[in-house]
Amino acid sequence: MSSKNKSKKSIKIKVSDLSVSYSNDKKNLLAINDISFDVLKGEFLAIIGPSGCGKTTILNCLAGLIRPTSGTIFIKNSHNTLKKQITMVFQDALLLPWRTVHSNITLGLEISGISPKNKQNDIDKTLNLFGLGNFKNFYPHELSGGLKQRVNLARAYVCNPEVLLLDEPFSHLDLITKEKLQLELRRIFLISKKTFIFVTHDIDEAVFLADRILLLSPGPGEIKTIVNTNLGKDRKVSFKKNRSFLSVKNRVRLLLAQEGTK
Amino acid sequence: MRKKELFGLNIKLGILGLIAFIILWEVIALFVVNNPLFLTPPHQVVISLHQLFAQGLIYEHLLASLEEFFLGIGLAVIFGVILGIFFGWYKKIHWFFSPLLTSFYAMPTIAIFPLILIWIGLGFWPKVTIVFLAAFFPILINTIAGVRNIDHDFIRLGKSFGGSDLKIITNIIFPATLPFIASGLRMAVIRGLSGMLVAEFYVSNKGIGYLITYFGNTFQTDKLFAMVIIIIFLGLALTLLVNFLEKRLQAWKPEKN
Ligand SMILES: Nc1ncnc2c1ncn2[C@@H]1O[C@H](COP(=O)(O)OP(=O)(O)OP(=O)(O)O)[C@@H](O)[C@H]1O
Ligand SMILES: [Mg+2]
Repeated sequence: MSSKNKSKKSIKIKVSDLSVSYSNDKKNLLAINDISFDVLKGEFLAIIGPSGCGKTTILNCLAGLIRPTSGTIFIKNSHNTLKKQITMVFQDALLLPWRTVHSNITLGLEISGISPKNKQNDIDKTLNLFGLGNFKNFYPHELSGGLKQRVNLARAYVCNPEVLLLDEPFSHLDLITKEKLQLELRRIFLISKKTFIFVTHDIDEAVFLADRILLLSPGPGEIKTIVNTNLGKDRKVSFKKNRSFLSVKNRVRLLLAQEGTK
Repeated sequence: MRKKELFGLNIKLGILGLIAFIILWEVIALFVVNNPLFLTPPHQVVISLHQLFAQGLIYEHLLASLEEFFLGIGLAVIFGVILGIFFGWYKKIHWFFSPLLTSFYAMPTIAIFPLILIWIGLGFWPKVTIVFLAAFFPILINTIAGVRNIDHDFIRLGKSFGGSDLKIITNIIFPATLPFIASGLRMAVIRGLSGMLVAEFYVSNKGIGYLITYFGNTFQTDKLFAMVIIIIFLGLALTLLVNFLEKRLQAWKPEKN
């Protein structure tokens, strides 16, 4: 079983010597300095690092929203020619206030030229998967922060991308809601068999969710190390009390703290 | 539970103020001025108003004016919104045109009416042009401001789905700009109405502006007042129409209070 698993994990994304600098009027800021890493097909990769170390910048490059200053990003195509390989989930829910939950979720489809009418089945499935079935006719201002983030996630998910980029989607939520959504996200990840790249600065969250964690050091952003969590597939809330979980968490914390003294 | 009243105090007081004004007008007209050529008392205005409609004289002129007006406003909305989104979207093009736009916006459109007459000639179209120009700039400027006001993250969101500019505009930019377009339209309607009237004062043999000059020249003060009342109602009706459209478009908004 495990050997079969390993053979399945081919490289999905290859980032080589990626650098990004932002140039404003006078200043020239190197945000990402020469980083290289692979993302495996179907893995849950977390990217963790302190504020300003370039996490969002990396996701923006992967999503094609900004062009790298140097370096390459190679994304392996799948056999079925999907129009959209990658979609991004932003930190703020960014729901359109004049659209209901249902039509907020179809925004990505509409923008990429797919008629929601032909996807009604997928849309309903996604609504239920994210626990939004009862809220589909609600407007964003009628939703709690947690529900808004569910809509945010569902909107990206329903586009059926091969890779989902998530930029700190839970960072504005209270701890209880956050843990609930972490649990559901992990469950959805396992069902979906998609590749997830999840940016966070919450160590607990990264260890709980990810198969591998990419640790970034700031100023300019560089990869310190990559940690394999080796924590298995199924994770419950009680899992956060496990010794193995806690030891990975401590290891990551120490590694990040070392960077602070750099 | 208290019975819900049909009209709130604000409306009651408003009506009271209106009635007080009319009574004051009647009293001054009858007992102070006492010359209907200068100040027609309101009851006489009502009679003249009734005559205008009963004799059917007004309809032809009202129709002509409304035709000019709605054609001008309609064109202004179409061009103002499309160009406004375009300028809002492509900053540099807007910067290029910005001084020109600001100058035209600041200029009372009627100032170039003689020029328009030279260019277009007499008749229907110069009046439509005046309404169009008067209405176009407020709609354009407001639309640009609306596009500028959109949080850039929403545009990033649209781009992250890999959509064309047109898809992002129709799904995100345009609906987000609607409240601004509505305030532009509110201004445009009043500007367009005044532009139309002045244009009809100048050169016309049709329209409510023409009727006003005609009644003025022939010293039919009562009819003049009747026309003013008609124009007030026209302005009110148009403003209410804009309010109604705005409400319909923003039906999703949470109720205030
Ligand atoms: N558009 C931009 N123009 C100029 N500098 C930028 C821009 N975007 C980001 N930066 C800078 O690049 C660096 C990395 O930013 P980035 O947003 O990628 O960090 P981050 O790790 O996502 O931070 P956070 O955890 O706060 O979201 C920061 O120093 C930031 O100030
Ligand atoms: Mg960020």
